[in-house]
Amino acid sequence: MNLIERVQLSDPINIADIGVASINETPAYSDLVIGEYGHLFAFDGDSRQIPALQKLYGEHATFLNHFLADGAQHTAYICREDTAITSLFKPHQSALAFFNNFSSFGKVVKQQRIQTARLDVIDEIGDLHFI
Amino acid sequence: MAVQLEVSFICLYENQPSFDEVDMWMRSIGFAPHRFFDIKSWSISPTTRGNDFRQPFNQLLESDIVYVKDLLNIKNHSSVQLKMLAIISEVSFDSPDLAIRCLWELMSRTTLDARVISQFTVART
Repeated sequence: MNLIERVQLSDPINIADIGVASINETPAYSDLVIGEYGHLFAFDGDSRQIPALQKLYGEHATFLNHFLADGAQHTAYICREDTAITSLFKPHQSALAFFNNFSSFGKVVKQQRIQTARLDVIDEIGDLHFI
Repeated sequence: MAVQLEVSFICLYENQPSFDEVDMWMRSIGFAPHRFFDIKSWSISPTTRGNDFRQPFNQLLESDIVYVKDLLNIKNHSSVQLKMLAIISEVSFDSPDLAIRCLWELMSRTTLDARVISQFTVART
């Protein structure tokens, strides 16, 4: 039986994925978005990731090119595009070296001063039900 | 109502909150853990399994974990929220037991036909 149809949900499920590029597997919310039962608000401060994400989710998602944090300026540590390790946190080199190959994955290629945004003051989104 | 977080058992960033810090904070704001997704391990340098650095032994690295708001007190949710949580539990978490708990609460409010619960229970358990 199709539970979604039987419970007669009147409103879409609003979903937010923060740092969407960091997920390598199929996200848990994927069937909700593709089935048009939910709308995805996809956040990633790394603009290199957006074209691939737009191709994947298309009109079922709104893409927001923000680093989410406290709304202040911070340093972004930009790492290789294929590793999704780019972060506002600085990679911990000795911890990375504990694991095979992580030193190269976590190599910072650029540091960039960026403006962060607070999730609770972004106009494009309403109530979120699944983050 | 539901939050899926990536938590680290070994922190790979400076000043990154560890799993126990994240868990304590989530509990402090009313969320309880529901399930793990994709518990990841990674091999410790310099030893690799079969010369493939992506094949782990046992060292834990990170996982996704799902928290649910007011998990033990779902009466606190509105009927619309309960419907959403039931659907998310079924479609995204593969958790029919949590979905059925939400449906039972909806039935007690007479906002759901009891036959939906019985049919869903037969189909999913």
